Amino acid sequence: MNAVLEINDLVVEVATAHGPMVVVSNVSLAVGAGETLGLVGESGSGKSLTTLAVLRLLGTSARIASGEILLRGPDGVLDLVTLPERRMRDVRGGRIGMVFQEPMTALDPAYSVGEQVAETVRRHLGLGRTDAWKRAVELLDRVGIPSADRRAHDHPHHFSGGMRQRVVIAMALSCDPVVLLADEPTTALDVTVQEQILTLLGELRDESGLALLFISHDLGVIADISDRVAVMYAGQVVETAPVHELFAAPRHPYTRALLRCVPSPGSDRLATIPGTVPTFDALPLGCRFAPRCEHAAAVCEGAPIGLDTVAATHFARCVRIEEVVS
Amino acid sequence: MIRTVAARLATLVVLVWVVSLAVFALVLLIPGDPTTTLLGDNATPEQVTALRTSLGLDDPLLMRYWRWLSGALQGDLGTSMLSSYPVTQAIGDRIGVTVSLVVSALVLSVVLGLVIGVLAAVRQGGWFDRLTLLGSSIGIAMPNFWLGLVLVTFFGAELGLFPTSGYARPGDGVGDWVAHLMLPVVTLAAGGVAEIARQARASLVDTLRLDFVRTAAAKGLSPLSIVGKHALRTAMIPVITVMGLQVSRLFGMSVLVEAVFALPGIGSLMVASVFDRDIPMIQGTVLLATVVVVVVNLLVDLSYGWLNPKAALT
Repeated sequence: MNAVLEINDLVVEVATAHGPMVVVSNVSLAVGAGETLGLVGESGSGKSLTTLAVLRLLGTSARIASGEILLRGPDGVLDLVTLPERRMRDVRGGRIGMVFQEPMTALDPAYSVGEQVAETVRRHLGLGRTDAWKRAVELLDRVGIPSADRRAHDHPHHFSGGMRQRVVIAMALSCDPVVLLADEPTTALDVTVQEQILTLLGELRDESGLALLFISHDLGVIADISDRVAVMYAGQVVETAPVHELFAAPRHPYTRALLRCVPSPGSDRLATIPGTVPTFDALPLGCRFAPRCEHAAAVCEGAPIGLDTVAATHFARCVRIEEVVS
Repeated sequence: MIRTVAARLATLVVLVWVVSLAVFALVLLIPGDPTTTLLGDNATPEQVTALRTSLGLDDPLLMRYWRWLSGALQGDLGTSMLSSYPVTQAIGDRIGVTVSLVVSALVLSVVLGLVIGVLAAVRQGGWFDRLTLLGSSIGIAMPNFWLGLVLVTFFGAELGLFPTSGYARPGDGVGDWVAHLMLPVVTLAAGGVAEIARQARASLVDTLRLDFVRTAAAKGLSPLSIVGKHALRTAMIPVITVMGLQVSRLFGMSVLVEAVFALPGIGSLMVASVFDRDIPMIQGTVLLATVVVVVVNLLVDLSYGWLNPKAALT
């Protein structure tokens, strides 16, 4: 498969008082056109930082220490890690769109939603004010804002959370990106609205052949939209597989534990994973999940564990898969 | 919006009326009798009575207030007790000086304060930022009459670069006008630059952490556009408040600065008329200063609605 976006061995460091601390360890991911990769994990597992790293929006406290982020296009391959900042700006909002978790705060309160979409259009497509506004209205209409031509003049505070998220999606898609990064886009929304936004994102992906990188901590949402899933734990990808395989035959003990935590009708007890996620300054040398794992043994602890091939498209970072599955 | 403006204007009228009452009443509290000032200590009781009658000082209070108020509404603030010069005309003669001084100082404070504050905020923690924090603390703490005297001594007396006192009308040569205003404006603006820079920095640092700034960056906008178009507009709300306060402060401080630099403005007129117990002159100048402050506050309030459309609803 020729991936549109390919992340290889990405390492992200956060500056602390005691020097740099690695929070994303050698993460490799790939998403193809028209495909959705679901990235799942608890808060602090490094999934948001991985996405922000793709756009190089890590801020001042975190930085990409090594690795490559390849964006394939008709004009060749760009490595976003080394791309000059000025050209990176053409990628942001142009080739790669991003949808954020908090629709209530993601929009500028001082400008109308139409202007905020049109601004992106003017920036990347070089349209004049009138044409950019027309395109903004079309986009708002496409993402399901009722009477978009009138509502485009309204400011964000006139919209509900779900409607604002639609505006953010319109903005992210305004310049026909090839990749859409969606960082927990439904987490802050009501369940019924969640469903609508998921459907919308799925439709838009299928219409334009977008590569969608979808981040969530919610396995139900991930199952709904993804083609493939990568599970992250403590800064590492611990398992990656096609969505049906991951849910039907999870291999990594963390994935299995996560799936057990999904409440099911008929059982009144909610399963939990014992213990807590290790902090990044005190990571185990071997398997990072070992301290919480019911299958942990001496082999898990000595040295870092690599991603093992389970099947052609299924990988897991566990040395005791045989014992775990049986 | 129009309804908001109308409502604010109505409050403004009421406010100015209350102030007019206070201004009128204030004069009654000033100790001493204006007739003594006018006639000297050796005046006969007959002379005093005659003068009091001609000045209308023996009329009932309400009548005196009404006479003053109706005059003021028509732009007639009475005549000076000392020179029988119309108050309105005295203010008109001198307002150019004070306006030149205050407006220049305000423009300097706002422009310099914003530039410094923004540069400090975008490189938060850098050397310029730390220098700004130090400099603004000094600027805020420094009494401005003292700064004025230092500037006079150094730039005026030692280096001879600028005149140390007096005023030149712009009509008599713009260069001369600028030179005469240079030291007083710098003196007056120093505190304002410091306050505005500090507020702009703090407010922009907070705003730059907000989600919508990250959204703007994710759209591929340039740093100039992210800060200038998006972050700054929200960050300006508290800065505008400080600017509004600066206008009142600059007017207040201009009294001192006009004294230090011997500028013939409203401030020095106000001081002189208080010493002379020239009641109509005091009333006129204080009323003018109040109206200016009230109008500036109105403009500040209205600007909130533009900066933050959410506030326009209330």
